[in-house]
Amino acid sequence: MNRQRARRASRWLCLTAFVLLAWGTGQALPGDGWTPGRDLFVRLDPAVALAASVAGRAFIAAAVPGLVVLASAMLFGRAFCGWVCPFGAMVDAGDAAWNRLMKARRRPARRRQDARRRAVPRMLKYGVLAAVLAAALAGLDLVFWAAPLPLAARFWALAAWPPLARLAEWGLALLAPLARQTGATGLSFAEIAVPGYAATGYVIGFLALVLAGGLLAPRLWCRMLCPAGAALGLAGRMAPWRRRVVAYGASGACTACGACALHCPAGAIAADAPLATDHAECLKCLRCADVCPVGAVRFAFRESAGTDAATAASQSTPVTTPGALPPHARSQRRALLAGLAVGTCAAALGHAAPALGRPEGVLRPPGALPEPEFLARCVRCGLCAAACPTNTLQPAWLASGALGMFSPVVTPARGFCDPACHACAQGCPTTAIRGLAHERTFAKIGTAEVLRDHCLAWAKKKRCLVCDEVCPYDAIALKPEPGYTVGVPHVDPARCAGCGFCEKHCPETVLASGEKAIVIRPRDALRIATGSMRAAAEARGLRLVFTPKKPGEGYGTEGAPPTGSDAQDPSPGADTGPAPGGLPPGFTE
Amino acid sequence: MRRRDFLKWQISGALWLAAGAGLPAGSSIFPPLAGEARAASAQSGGSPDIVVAKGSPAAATHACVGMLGGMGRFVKTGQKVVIKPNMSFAADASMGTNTHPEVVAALARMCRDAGAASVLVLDNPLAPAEQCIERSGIRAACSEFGDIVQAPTAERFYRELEIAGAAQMTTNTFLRDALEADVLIAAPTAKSHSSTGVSLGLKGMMGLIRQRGMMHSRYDLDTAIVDLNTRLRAALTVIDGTYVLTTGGPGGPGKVLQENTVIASADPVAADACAVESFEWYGRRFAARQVSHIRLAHERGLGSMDLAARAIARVTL
Repeated sequence: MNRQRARRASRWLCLTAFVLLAWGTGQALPGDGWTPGRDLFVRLDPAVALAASVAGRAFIAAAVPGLVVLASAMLFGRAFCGWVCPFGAMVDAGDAAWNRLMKARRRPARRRQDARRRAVPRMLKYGVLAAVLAAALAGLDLVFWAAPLPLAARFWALAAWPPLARLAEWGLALLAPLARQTGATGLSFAEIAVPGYAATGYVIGFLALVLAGGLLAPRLWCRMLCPAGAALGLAGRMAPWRRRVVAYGASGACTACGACALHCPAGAIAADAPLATDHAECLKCLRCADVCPVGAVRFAFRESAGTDAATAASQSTPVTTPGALPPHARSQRRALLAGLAVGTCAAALGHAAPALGRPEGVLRPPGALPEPEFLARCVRCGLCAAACPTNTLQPAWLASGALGMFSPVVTPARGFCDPACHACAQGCPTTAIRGLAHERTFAKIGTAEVLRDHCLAWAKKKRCLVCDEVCPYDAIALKPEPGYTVGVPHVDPARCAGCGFCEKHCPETVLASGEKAIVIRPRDALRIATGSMRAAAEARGLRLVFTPKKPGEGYGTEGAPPTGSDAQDPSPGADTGPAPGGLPPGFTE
Repeated sequence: MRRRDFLKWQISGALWLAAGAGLPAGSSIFPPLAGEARAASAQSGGSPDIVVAKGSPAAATHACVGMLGGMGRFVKTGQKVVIKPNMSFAADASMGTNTHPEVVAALARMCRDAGAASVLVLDNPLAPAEQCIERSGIRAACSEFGDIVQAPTAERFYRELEIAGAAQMTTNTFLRDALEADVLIAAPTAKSHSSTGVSLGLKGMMGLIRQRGMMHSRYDLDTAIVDLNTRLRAALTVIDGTYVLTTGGPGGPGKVLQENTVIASADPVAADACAVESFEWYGRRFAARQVSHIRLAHERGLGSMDLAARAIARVTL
């Protein structure tokens, strides 16, 4: 049973590592070398790697680990499912919880056996995989509905973390007085940001459904629906490291007692034919070997000489028979075809009606690929939102269309998008958000628009300068206007990067819409798949200057040089000098 | 004529002071000199109302406080002190948006030497807190005093409080530590402000509350600043005029003049008024009464902007 303990340890370790990484503990590791990103585990998902690469029509270096896992299946079958997959571990934990609950009831053994024996429509998962790949071929990414690791990441990062952070924050509040008394000032002021995310109800509901599957059969999700499991199963059908049984007649041979079939959590062994194994289903959990009373089951790369010849023969016979396919292969093919059809239909629908979201689009994080490519690559794991320190990145519900569900949107009213930060890109497992290094500050995500009917200065003639005060691009100027005693804000679109400091800090909220009086629109966002962001900004005549200038210097000396059309605007600050004959802002006679 | 002549001999004393403060080991030499200065002021019938010191940030700060009677006049043994600098922006002091770190560190040192039980440097920043604390250089400058530089943002650090006798803003959420402090020291940088003309000690108190937006939107900002200052009264105002952001404030970038000046007073209105009149703004000179919130604070008795009637000591180090 030591192997079972090892397997359990491996899975809990992987789950723990997965959760800790999703929560960003990788960044907190000491040392300034390489730190494991939040997305490390998500990148192991073969379904993610396949779908994102196919849909994105690109070789995605970040997705290579998923392909490696897929290749590993050709040697070891679905060992990933049994030993590594964190989502599998969650499903298993759910199953164990149900078992315990049921044990408390009458006739527990009977029910458990029933559950184990129940046939599961295992072909469905091939249909899911086929649908996902068909849609990916058509350029749509549907894998986020079913890929296991993005599902797990969404749950842990978006649904589980906020309540936990809230608890920790309460703990700090309780601890603070004590810390203050003992002189630990830093600890007494320690804060843990408690983020909030949209659509967490759905995430929790979906997971609850998946776990409820444990009532019907163990690892129902993995056996019936998981596209990653399907991909690994297909790749692993011929895996040489497999279950091998000493056939009847040899010494220490199988007695056909059926214990292995009863204990197999994947239903890969038929009770009436325990010599055979469905290798596409086998999770390599080794339980059959461990429960075999005569030690007839082992997992190995090759048959031990002579003894297993009968097994090999009995297994290969139906396959080598020319003509009709075995019934199981036929239904697999049917499922694949049905899935292809469904996926193609979904893709056709998606292409026909992509505009279920806002026609003007949504604010995407800085460095996001052009929208179609972005949606094709984004697997909706939510890790960018989890990485965002200002909580401005939110999973979209329907704002970006039905196909954009859970894709990240910037919500400046909740938080600004700090031009000095690009944590989202570092958390992206498929580089749907490009890393921009030193060109990050040129990644314009939108343009601020003053709602003049609501702005305190424009509409109520009140003195308010908050937007100008907080703008790190110096894109907002308070200018005198006829009929106004106060300066009113003007946005210079060429200087505005859409960072949203203004929207976040705007004191005025429009009651009817809940919008601020200055809002970032997706207009003129820089979305390029390749090449220099800075060059693209300059080519468009943008003057995005985030780095502060040296004191006393004029404007336009750093960053993108001013172009001819902007030359008439010598001083974007415009509050730098008094209006002719008037007073500078804030002074009275 | 201002009583400058009368104070001339005091200034010579201040020069001694400044010499002490300028030394690397200034803090150890400083206390006895401060004592002498205080004794000298007592003989002359009181210290000046306002001190304007020109010199390096730390030395000028020491000189200012010393000539006002030393930190012992404001901070008694065992008291809790909160210093409120400008560290709302992730920029270094030469941009003119944040208080010079050496001014803050000098104040913290004097408070500690005066026997303060605790000294905290607090501001509720506009930009991300960690960046502000780091890039302003204030955390590094104060590191020898412990983890005293903090920029709390979470709700639990703030408390709703009514402002009795307010003209408009009757309530706000205040930083708890600011309310609980025995001594509040305003340590703003001198900078222009596109809404209130200048941002100095009085305006700077907005860094100790949480609901700043409504001061802009719901109330008349100038009146609300005065209301705020009726609740948050700085015992000492030390204005850092090392780099004066004369245009483009409060966030900059704008025209920065290196004035190498520190202005201090126990009267927050007088300190602000003196800073307005000491520097040029937008390339010209203004009287203190031309800044509405200073005028209103004067009218409501928070202090006096009438500089002609105040004793101003000027010293160049």
